Amino acid sequence: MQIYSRLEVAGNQVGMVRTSKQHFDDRGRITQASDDPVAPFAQVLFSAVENVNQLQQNADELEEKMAVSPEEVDVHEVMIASEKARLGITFMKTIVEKAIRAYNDLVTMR
Amino acid sequence: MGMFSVLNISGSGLTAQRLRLDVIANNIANATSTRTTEGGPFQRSRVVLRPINDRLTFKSHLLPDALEPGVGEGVRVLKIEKDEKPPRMVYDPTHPDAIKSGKWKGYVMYPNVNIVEEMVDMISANRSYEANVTMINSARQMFEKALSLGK
Repeated sequence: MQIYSRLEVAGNQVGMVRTSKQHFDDRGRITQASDDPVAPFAQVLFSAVENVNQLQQNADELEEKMAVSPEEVDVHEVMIASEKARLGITFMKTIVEKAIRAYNDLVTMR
Repeated sequence: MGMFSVLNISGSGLTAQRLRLDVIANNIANATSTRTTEGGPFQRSRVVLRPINDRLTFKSHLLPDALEPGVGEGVRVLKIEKDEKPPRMVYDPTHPDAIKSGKWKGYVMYPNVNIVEEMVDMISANRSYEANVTMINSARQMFEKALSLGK
């Protein structure tokens, strides 16, 4: 069974097949968000992680650009992007540690 | 305000000062260019900066002066304009660009670039860059201090 889509290969980015019944729904697209303004906590957490990942990717992209065509990008832009990525990771790590500590507090309750 | 608003604002400041430094370097490099494609000597260029967002924002309908300026989002380059000061006249009849006839016969038009002025501008751009970098470091330290709250 093929898990990646031949139509969505761009460079080193490979799109996954989204039309299998094991995936979201067999219409091949992600279900729309409802009008309910309250998002489940897991979704908020995942979108925060996604944002952190996006920061990492921005920093990587700028570093690549710096190596390939140094004329087009300033040093401070690269530094700021990598600093943003680092701060995002630190922030996420802190939040995760706090969550785990809270969970442990609950588990070890007697 | 986003998590990294300070980084974005100061980053725009850093970019603007880098451009100022480039323009100053070009002025100094062309301080003796007597010919340009437009004719006449080189003219000193200046960078004109303006805020990215200085529009008034609506604060509250209970305030008589409900429109107030927001925090702003940094600086952007409006344009690079030419300085219209008259050129420096230097007497040098053997120069190929010397004026052939008239009142200024034998004079050469040199660019209106004053090296001392450019040096002062250069130091100013340098110091502004440093100030923006200091701002970024301070914001970073604040962020890390905030993270150490939960320790």
